[in-house]
Amino acid sequence: MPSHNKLIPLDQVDKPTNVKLTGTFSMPKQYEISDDEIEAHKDQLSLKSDSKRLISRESQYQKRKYESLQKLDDGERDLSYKEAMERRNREKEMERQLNEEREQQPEQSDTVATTQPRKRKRRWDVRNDEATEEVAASKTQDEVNDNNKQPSSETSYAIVDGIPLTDEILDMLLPSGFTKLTPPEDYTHTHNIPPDNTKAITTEKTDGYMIPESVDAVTSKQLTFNNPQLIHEVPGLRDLVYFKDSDMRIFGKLITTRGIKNTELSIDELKERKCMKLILKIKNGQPNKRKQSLRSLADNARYFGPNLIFNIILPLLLDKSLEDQERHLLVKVIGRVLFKLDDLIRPYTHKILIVIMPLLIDEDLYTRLEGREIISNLSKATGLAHMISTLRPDIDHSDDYVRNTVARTFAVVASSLGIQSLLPFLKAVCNSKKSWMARHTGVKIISNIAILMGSSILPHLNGLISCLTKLINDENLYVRSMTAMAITSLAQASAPYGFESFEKIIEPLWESLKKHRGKHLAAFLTSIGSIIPLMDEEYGNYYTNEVFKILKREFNSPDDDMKKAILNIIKQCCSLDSIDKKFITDDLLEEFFTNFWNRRVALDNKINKMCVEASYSLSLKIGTNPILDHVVIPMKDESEAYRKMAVETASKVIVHLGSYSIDDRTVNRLLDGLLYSFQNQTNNNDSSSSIFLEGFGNIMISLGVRVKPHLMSIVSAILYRLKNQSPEVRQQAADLISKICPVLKICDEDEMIIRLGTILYESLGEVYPEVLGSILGALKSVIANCNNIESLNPPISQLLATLTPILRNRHEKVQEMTINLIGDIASSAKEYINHREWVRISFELLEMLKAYKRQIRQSANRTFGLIAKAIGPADVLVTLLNNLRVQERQLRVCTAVAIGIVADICSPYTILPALMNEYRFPDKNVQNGILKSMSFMFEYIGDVSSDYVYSVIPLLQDALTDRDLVHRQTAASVVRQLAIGCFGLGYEDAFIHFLNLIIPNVFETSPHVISRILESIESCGLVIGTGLMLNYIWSGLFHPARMVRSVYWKMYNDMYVYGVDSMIPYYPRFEAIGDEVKNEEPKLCLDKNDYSISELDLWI
Amino acid sequence: MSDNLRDRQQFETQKFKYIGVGSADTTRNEFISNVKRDTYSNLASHNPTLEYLSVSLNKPKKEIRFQMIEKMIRPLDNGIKTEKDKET
Repeated sequence: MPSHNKLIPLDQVDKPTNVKLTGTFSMPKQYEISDDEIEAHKDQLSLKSDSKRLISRESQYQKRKYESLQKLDDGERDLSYKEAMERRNREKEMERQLNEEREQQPEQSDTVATTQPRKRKRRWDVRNDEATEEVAASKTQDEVNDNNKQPSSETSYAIVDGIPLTDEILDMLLPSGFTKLTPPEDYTHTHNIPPDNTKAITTEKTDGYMIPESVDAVTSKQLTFNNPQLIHEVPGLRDLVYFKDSDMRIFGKLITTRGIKNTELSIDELKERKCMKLILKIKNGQPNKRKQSLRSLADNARYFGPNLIFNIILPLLLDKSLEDQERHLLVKVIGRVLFKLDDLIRPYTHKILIVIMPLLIDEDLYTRLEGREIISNLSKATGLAHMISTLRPDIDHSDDYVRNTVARTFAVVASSLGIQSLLPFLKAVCNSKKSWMARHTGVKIISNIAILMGSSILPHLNGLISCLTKLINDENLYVRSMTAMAITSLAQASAPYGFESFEKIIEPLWESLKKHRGKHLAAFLTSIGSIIPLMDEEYGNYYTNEVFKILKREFNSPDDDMKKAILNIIKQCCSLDSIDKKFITDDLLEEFFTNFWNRRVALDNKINKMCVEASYSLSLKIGTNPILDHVVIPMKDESEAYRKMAVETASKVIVHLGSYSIDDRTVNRLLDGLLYSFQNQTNNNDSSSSIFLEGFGNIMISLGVRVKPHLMSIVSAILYRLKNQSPEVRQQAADLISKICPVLKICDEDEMIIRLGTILYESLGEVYPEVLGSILGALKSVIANCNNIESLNPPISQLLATLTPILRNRHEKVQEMTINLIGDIASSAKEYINHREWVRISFELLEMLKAYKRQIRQSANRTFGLIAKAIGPADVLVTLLNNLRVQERQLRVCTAVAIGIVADICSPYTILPALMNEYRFPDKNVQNGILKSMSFMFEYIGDVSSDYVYSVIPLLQDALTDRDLVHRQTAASVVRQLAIGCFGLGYEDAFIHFLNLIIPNVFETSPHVISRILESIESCGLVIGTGLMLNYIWSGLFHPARMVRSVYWKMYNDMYVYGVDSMIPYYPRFEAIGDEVKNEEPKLCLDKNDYSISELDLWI
Repeated sequence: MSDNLRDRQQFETQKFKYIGVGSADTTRNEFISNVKRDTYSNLASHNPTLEYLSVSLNKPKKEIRFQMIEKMIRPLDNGIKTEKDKET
């Protein structure tokens, strides 16, 4: 890869700002068009499937994991520690020699070598006469050769990142002067034939070396099956969802040997076939098959043996066509298998780590978590010593990528096995004399541990810091600055405790502040800055003053790292008590604003954010005014990013500190600036427009009455933008209206609110659903803040009539907003609307009950309740009860919830008779729905339900003795809610009755049913008391039948966990006990020992 | 099947926290010793019951408390030491 990089000429001469030194390498800009052409030729479908692949999303750095594929393909078992170290040393030696050779080469070698390095320095587009002559001379000879070779090479070009390296493309990529060489005659192409991983397994089994199949035979065999479109099913595996091209490489054996029957295979081959089938089913199968196969693989893990399983899984995980879902499943398989194999896993630790370590640097949090879990299980299974000996060879690897992943892995190992046990090793690594890379990795491990474990490092802080103490003055610069970063993360993890441990390194840290410059100084500054918040006031005061001296010196440093460090320290230290207010206002503030409040800072997103934070932190100390005075000026700046930063800061400061101290002049300037920046937005992306929206809204709300003089201009600006061409601008304007309506109300601008209402009503014809949703939200806010609803124009009944068709809009935001608006109208303006209109709307609302989004269902239910309150429950209830007869389950559940809510709002006695009557309807779904709505109802009404206990007994009695399982389950949950409502109100008789009906159900096996039943028994126990409840339980604890015992113990355990104290008075008196339960006829042989507790017999 | 597995895991975590819980494999001896331990610890850790016992047995509270805790060690012995125990 690096050589490839060097060959590409950099065209960054004219655009120096674009220089990126981090590892992304790309073609020169002017050639990118050729890339596009290739894209255009690609099949759209294959493009789509490409985007699902992980590799398409990985950065160059992450892609490096594929390099380790080679290590896996060696087929070797894990080397012993000694062997591994020897090998690593050999590699290092070779590398060193190579480097030496490279250095010596220019001196020794003749013409070819001497022209080569010079060519690199030359501009690539300057033609080289000598070279061209050479090319011309050799060309004639080449052409003869080419003609012979061409047909074979044409069919197979190397493909890099999807770009076939054909001659034309290579010509574009490479600078002039390269000649094309002919391959040797005995060379045949093999690189496009995928590695045959199945061989790795077979070599394990045979004693000697087997002559591999000839290449031709393999290719011809694979070509016949290589087309994924042809493979719809694999023999014996009917439930696959898909079978990819790349699967062929690993699972090809299943297909190539499809002709051979199971009986003809040897045991090992049979095992392999079974194992492959299971893994393929897990990876590509349908969900239910996947689950079965996963379980079966886990159960048989020891039978298959780790060798077989990992030879299949590990290559799969490093496959380039792997997708998210597949990786997740395979990692899950490893987790399960790991659990079963336990210490058998040991020989494979290194291989597993090669595959799993890259997960730790993934961008996705969940992937990282998965990786962590596997590594922590692995380290628990194999033990610390083995993990260390496996990872040790990589700790001073010359490659930064390897060291980074190893450091992260060690951090995970430390968190799972305890820092204490890893500490001696860390100490040894950090004191390594051999290479600075080992020390660097050691420090990195400590830093990663702090980040990973947070405050739980506190008990080991002394040990960790003692590892770092010497390294602050290490001879290597990188180690020193890494140490500073590690101290930073330790301090941040342990804040606000643990200063005692840091105390001894403050002196050396302080010394190094004087020794370093630039980036490294920034690292040390940050580390001191992060320790300061841990100090007590006296210490802190001294160090803050000293640090700020350096800060002021570095204020105008152009280095980004230094800027970040400075902002970080300001943010952390300025809010502390230790710093003086006068010091900030006199010395710091002016310089801070001149150096950090400028357009350049605003353009860098990260520094911009930090600067806002730092300004906020300053305002906590010195109050709003000084900050606002500075901030209002850039609000009218011509750079939008700068305006945004100003608005964000002003809003943050005002929201947290209030606006009381601001004088009128500043208010004027502030609002003026806000209006200017609001009107001159050009960038309409989400984040920036929401910052302006939030900022404007929050500041207006905070200012309250004081904005009254400015309202006219603000509202007219908003209305002007409401008519804008771009939908984003309209949406923002509508959102702002809904934010400022409360302010209008405070300012007594009723007429303005009404005018806004009229204009919003007129905009209801909006086409863009997002905008329409915001307009509805604004309308809702208008209605909520209007003092006199009657004066609204158009009248509210007309508005509601307009809303009914909008309710059918498919867009979720529109639906939710409309439903909420209708609910608001129902609660505040019910008398202006016709009864029939409400019934119509409640019909429409029924559809919403099955909405996909949970919030919509919730607001629909709420609105149902409000409508029912407005027009009385009878009409709504009829609609709802009819709805219980539909087929769709979700709709029925939502209806049940709605009934519960209506019952809660309109008192249960209006609803319960209708429910009980409806229960007589002989349909399972209806009855079940009734039970469900009763359970919701009792949940909502709480202890009011005690009034209805006796009246629902017959109904529940019927339900609890029904043949249908689900019926009993639902009835049990009704009893549960009822019991929770009646707790402490004394209805023991009723609940004993219920319990008698429920107890026989404890032997149900269906998981949902049994958990409901147990729950309801538990809550019955709550009402009738522990003593009575225990009487039910004693009978089954030592029942001869195991099934009975286990259920009764489960009930006993529940009670025990919740309240063993209350059980103690009811424990039986044991005067004699029978034989232990065995699987035979019980004998009557009583142990004559008296087991009673004599103390309990005392009686005064 | 998987529920069985999950049940077992749940039980194990429960057992780890609360020694007194049991399963179908719990023996009578185990159960009774748990019952007695629970009772003794309850008597020892509630001040009123301790007071009651000390009054009725005419012994100091501390001693009663100590006795209760002693009895928790081998709850099935019933306070009567066998010959063997006396030797050791």
